[in-house]
Amino acid sequence: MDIKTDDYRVWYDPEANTVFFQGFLRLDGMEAYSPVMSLLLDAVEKQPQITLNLRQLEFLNSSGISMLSMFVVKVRQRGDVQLYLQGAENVLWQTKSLKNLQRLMPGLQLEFA
Amino acid sequence: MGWPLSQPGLHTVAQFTGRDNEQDPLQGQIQALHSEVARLQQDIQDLQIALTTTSEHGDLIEAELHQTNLKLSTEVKERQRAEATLQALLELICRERDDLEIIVQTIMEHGDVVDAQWHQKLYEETIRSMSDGLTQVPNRRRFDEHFSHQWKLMQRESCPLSIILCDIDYFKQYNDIYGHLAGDDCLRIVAKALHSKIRRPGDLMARYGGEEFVVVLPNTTADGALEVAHKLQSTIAELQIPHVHSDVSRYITLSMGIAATIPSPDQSADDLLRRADRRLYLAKQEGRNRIIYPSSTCLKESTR
Repeated sequence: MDIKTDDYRVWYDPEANTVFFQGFLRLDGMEAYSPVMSLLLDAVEKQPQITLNLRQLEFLNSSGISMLSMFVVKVRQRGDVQLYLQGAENVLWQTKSLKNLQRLMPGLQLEFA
Repeated sequence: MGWPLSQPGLHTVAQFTGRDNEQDPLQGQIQALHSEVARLQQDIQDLQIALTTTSEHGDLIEAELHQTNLKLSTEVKERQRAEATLQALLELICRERDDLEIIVQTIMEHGDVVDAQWHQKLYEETIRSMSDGLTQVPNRRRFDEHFSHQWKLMQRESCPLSIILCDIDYFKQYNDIYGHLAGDDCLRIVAKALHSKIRRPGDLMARYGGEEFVVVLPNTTADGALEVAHKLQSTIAELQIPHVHSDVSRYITLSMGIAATIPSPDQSADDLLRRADRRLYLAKQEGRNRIIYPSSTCLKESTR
């Protein structure tokens, strides 16, 4: 479970139960994000206690944050998933947008470093 | 209605009938009574039928009411179930609406913040592209743009524009003795010191190339530029950067050429730069650690 291009990389580390995001994620539209969404949902299927590490994700466009929002809603609807988000304080978009995701799922744990 | 209805009563009437024909009126009465009895019996039958009919009708109505009641109960339950389903659906729709509102807000804020992030990055890149990588002061490109801009501005306003070209004395020897890393450090220290002294809005200090630096001073005459040049020279002298192979001092020194003019259409910015460069060359020729400025006066700085 590894999606890699010149601009970004998204991969699942089963040992850490963590999906890592890295680089500039600027895919064109929600459809283009479906492989990333599938990777996330597959990871949740394997282990319902999952961490998304976004600290190395410098940019995420609007379609990307939509995909992430939809994922959070899906996870909340499942009811049995414990979701952790790890962000970086020095990445401006993360300090703003990740808190909004917490509004979609109050049980979501947010950690900045 | 006061007449007896029992069989013994009828038997008594028959006895009277057999005994005396003169009793016809009585006979008539008996017949009347018979008729009455028959009528009453018919009434009874009618009443019984009416009673049976009413009773049966009541049962039927009751059964119908029961059925209707059952049907209504079922309907009420179904409606309650439908209402509960609708309520659940309403809650789901409300939740989805709330989700969508949050998502829309998230996307909007995200767009704004990403835009700000790109803008910041662009600004940093612009600054970086205009800065000298080694010394972090403005680079030659920044100088060219600023000098050209100030030239036009001063020409429009008929105000003086001065430039100072500086060069570190015996820098090649410094590199040979102390090494290129120390040479880079020396450039960084000198650049930082010069940059810190150029503070007026519109003034600009830049690395011109190699060990050469340039200062643009709008609204400044040659005398004003000379003052600035003295200040810069003192600043470098105060740093006391050792240079054992300098022929003019034990420390790093600067040679400077100043040029000043009120820009006009019949001269070019390059002319001014060339004049400053020629005076810098003269400063080198005449022994270094000195300032040559437009009055052709050579100002040698004392070694500190």
